[in-house]
Amino acid sequence: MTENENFQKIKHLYNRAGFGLHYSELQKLSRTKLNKLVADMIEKAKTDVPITTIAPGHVKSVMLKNAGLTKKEGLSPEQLKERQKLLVSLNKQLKNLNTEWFFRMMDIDSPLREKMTLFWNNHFACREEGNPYFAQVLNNIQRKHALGDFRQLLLEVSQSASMLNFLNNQQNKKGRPNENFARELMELFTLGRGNYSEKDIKESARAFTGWVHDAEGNFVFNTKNHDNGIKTFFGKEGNFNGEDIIDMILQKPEAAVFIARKAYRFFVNDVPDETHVQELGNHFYKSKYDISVLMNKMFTADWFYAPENTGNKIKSPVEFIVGLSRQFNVTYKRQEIILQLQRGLGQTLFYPPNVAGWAGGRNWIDSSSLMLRLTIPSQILNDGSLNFSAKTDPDDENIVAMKQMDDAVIEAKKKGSRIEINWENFWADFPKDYSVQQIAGFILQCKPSAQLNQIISSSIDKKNAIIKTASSPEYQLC
Amino acid sequence: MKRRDFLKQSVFASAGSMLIPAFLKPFELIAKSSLSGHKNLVIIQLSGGNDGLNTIVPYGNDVYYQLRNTIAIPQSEIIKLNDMQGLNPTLAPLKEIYDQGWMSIINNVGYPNPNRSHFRSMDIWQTASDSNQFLSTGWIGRYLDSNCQMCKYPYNAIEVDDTLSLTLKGDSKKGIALQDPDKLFRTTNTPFFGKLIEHDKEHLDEDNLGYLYKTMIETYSSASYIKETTKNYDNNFVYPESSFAKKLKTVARFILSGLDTRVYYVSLSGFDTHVNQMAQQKKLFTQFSEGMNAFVKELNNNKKLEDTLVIAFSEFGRRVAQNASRGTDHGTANVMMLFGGQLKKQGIYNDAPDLNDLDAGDLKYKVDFREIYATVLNKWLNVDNKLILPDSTGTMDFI
Repeated sequence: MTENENFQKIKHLYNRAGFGLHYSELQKLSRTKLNKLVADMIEKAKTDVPITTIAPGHVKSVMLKNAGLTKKEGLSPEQLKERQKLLVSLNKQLKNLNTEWFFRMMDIDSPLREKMTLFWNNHFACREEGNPYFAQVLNNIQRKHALGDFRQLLLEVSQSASMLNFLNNQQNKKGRPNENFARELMELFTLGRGNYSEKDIKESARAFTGWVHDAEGNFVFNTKNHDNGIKTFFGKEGNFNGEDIIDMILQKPEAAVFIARKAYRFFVNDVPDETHVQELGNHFYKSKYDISVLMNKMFTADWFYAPENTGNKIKSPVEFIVGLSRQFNVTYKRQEIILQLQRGLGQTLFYPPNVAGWAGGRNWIDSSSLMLRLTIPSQILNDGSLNFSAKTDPDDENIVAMKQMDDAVIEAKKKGSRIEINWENFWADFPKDYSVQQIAGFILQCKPSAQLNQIISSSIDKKNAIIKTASSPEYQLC
Repeated sequence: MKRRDFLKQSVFASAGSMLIPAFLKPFELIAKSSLSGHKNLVIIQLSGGNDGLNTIVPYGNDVYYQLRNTIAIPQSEIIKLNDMQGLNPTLAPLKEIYDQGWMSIINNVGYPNPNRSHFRSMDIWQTASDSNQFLSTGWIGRYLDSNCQMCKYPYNAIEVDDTLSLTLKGDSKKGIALQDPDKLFRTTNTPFFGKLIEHDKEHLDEDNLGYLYKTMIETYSSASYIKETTKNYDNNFVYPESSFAKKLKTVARFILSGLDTRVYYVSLSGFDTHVNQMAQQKKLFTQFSEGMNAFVKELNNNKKLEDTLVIAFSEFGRRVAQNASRGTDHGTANVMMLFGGQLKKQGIYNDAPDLNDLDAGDLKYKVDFREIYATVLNKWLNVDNKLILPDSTGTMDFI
């Protein structure tokens, strides 16, 4: 393997398994053999570094109770104000959590850990309606087991307060089963349609009765509400509980293939090659659902580096913004800018569109989102501020209502969207004799078109040439 | 289409000539009058959950006054429409429109198993899904996907905003969002982008890069077309000073310049009135009703009101009883307002909400919002609603 080849492969690896690299980082890494690099990357990603932005106990019902503000009835105007303030502060916490995670992704420490967390976050898509702390707990479960044991990940996700709420398992009781969780468990989390019957859903829902969380969000098995009767699941009869059902699902090789396909579509190609997917799935199944084995197999496969799988995936908005911000050492002075970018481009962390997660691929692109993507780099890199307005966060509707602002987002934006770029560091990262074409080639993952090449070479100003490179359709791909 | 053929038809192959791509030219050449037959739909989204009971007030029902002791509108202030319902006084500018027969009110619109989350309920309204169903395309997006004669280009459905709502996103086709034709034109028609789209590629949509370039060229063409077409019409009609009115003014300009657009989308935000509802609703209703008043009048003056239908919706109504903060919390069924020159049943369409028959303090829906969509699709946009909505959806008789 020539060093140049290794260099290109590692660059591709870090774009897919992470959020891109600086030139100097890549140069250092390219001395290591690919297989070892993948193994190291996975080992490092296994270290658990939970997000602790929101303190335990910061749960809506608990806080309202402690402040004596649980019920609105009978409160004085001052108390009502206090209560509203508390609710607004909870909403603010979700924003803090969002940006904390965003900064994590920008951080080089372990890009794979955060990329995998993003993958699981979308796989187990969940919207937290009132308790940011629960969202943080779920996010940390996805981070902790990002490259661990899939069964453990699935179990902990299923028993998290966020998921129990989101898929209505709190309402799943003996005699009055709620099938929402059981259905999504099989349809979206493990097997996919066609691998279970409606009866399997009905019966397994009974097995999850009594799975609830307490006020602080801890998992509780409420035996009183649990259905201890005989259930028939996948043709077997028994007094199965929730864990039994999860085990029985994972005994099916189809579950391993389903997860492998999902990972393939996220990391390799929107259009799965079924031969590769089966190969990954079998391997994953044999490893007893060890995620690190699955990812190692993927990242060391020859086809992962084949031309048809490089430089052709449309970046998700988060990949796009994080990648750009990392590449150009961007500092955001106001939290709202990061949220505005996410909202404007259609991917707000912790707000997946629904339980199926973001559809991804070409779904990210419409005329308006593409024009935003093509103009955001120059807004950030040239102007240091954004000149578009994103739609109001639905959770902010009540704030808009209270403040009686005409257009809260525009107002917030006017108060100075400060963005800073460290250009010196950007240039210093490249070898002195590197041409602007070479730098442009480095920040792109696909070959630039003849036109783009011409634009780059004919630019007198090299900063301008690089901003144009980042403003091209080519830059949308990784 | 091969890129070469595409560019041959497109003006960008010959720099410096007219800005309108050749494939759009036929429309440009059609005289404005011959386009006047095409119908427009304007969708207005009132975000946050507008309180329908303080919009079209059931003043004839005592329960309303019992459950809303500090935020009920006194009978004396209500602009009475019949002996049961009347307009919130801050909606006074709508009365004139109502009296002309240009307004319809549909009560009790909702859907089974209502969801009270802003996000989720808005998704349901935008995608026209069932309460427990998750769709990734909007109902207007699916209309664009239906390949009707007038859903070929992004500008066939325009949202007056910087970003595109799910409503206008289909599987293969999507609408376009813009606030201002000149701004979009300036953004797209830079020398840099102009040069880029001469991009040398065999097939424009074969791979993802081709798809990106194709979308870019479509946007570029749309921006040119919209700018060129809309410069024909200068609205000097006076609108009130609000960002909502400004958006409606833009829609009027688009319609009256003969833009080949079937659907327009506009949002007004801030209806989540948990606290001190009266003041906030007053402010929003002033923007809404004054804006609508100007919009309807301008269209009527230009003989386009006949061809325009406006539907205003919100993701849910609010609970019948007020809360302790002089506000209201998230509820269920709601009122929908329709405007236009061809309404079949002018005024109040159906019975007022029955405040004596509530579902745990919430209104029971009587009309599924998808029946309204189906009616609009079938009778106004002339497409088979079965292609877009569930088979079983019935249609109504308001147009």
